[in-house]
Amino acid sequence: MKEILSLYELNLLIRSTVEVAFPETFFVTAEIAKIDIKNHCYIDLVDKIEETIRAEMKAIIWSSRYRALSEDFKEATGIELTKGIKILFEAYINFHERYGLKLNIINIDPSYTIGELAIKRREILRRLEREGLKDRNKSIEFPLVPQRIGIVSSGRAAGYEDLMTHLMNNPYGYKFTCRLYEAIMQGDSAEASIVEALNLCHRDSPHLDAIVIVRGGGSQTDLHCFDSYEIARAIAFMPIPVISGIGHERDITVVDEVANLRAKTPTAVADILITKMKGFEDSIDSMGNRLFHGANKLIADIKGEFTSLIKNLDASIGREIIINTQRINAFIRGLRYSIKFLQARKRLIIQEATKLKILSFNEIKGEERILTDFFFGIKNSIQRQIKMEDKRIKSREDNINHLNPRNILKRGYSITRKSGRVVKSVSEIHLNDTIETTLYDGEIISSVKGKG
Amino acid sequence: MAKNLSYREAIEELEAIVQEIENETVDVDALTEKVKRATFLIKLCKKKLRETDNEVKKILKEFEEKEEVSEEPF
Repeated sequence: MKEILSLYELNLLIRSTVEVAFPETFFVTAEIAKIDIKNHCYIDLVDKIEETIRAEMKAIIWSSRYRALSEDFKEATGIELTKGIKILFEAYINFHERYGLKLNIINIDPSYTIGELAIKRREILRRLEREGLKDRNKSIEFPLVPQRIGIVSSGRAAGYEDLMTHLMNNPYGYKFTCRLYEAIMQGDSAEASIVEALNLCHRDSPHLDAIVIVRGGGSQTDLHCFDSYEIARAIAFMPIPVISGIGHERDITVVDEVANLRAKTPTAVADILITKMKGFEDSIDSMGNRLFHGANKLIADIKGEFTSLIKNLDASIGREIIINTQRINAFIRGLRYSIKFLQARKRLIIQEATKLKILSFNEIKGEERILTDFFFGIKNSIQRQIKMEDKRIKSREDNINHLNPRNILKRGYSITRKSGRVVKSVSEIHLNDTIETTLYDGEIISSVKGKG
Repeated sequence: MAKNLSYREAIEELEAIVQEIENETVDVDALTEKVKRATFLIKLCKKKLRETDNEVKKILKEFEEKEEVSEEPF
């Protein structure tokens, strides 16, 4: 007859057997199927081939170890101990009479997980590359002005708050039009939720310039879900650029790889957007400057032309004026000399004239006197001459009276005329001619009776 | 025209005007008009950068409302 044991006694027996059988630790690889932190950390471990579970066991990390272990793990891998990741750990096999068989994890080797994650990530990336999706979103030209932004995040997340605060309070006063596409950003349902949000973004993309994916931020640094083929695919097919703001200091997730741009923090995402806006404004400002300078130069050129024209004009006018002024001045000088000269002459003339006046007056007086004297002289000599002539004429008269035919006729002589002509010879007279005889006291008309 | 002008269209037109002026291929008589237009474009862009696009907000809001309707159970 076998001994009857209470369950407690049996479990104590198992416990001691296990402790004796497995006194050393084991190094084990397994996938985390479930993880709960309630003071201590409770993990469901599975071992899968493809999707078929071939082994399962519960594990525990005592709270005293958990803090250090999880922090080291996060530090090394960039992710939390979370569902779906594979870990390599050192553990005791432990049986507790009440809680049963468990692995008591005392160490985790993060490098194994890193390798596992890297392999998984590489596989996804290789697949995306094969399907031509890896650089699909990258090839989209980033908009000149990313002003209308679709944000995939959790509305309660600190990262979303950071992004919005930065966008709204940008120092340039740019206005962004944002719409939040609410998604769960961590845990089991994150992948499906993010894909759904991205699909809504796709639908609204005609009214958006860019999509931003930002993570919760804070202490929740679970990047695991961003190494997702489904999310990457949704990003790849997005017709507008996607910016990932889920980055981690060390690792680059698949989402980061396919996104058009990636930033480490939500704040950095905001900076990218603001910088783009600023870049655009700077470029229009610089065009404004170029416009200003170009226009000024053009105007200056024209002004310059005018100025040189005016200068030339000025110069030629100036020359003309100078020449003319000189001429006029010379003319005025000449005129002044002439006037002076003329005035001098005038004075001279007046003097001369005065002199002449005095002189001519005296002269005239003298002349007058001379003339008077002269006239008197002439008068006297004429009178003398006349007297003398009178005398001569008297004596001539006497002589002429002696020769006068009347005086001769008185003495008995006569003059015979025939037809008015004086007859000097008898031969001029014919018988019966009428002749006129002039005597001292008359005439006799007779006819010729005979000649002697 | 001004309202629907995209940033890209604006900057391309602006660039063309600036180039013209820099290359001094602008007629002096047309200069004023060109400068006026360019200034207008710059001002428009600067204003748009600092203006909330209520039109887009409205459109996005409409989508939201439709979503709500479609989510109602039959």
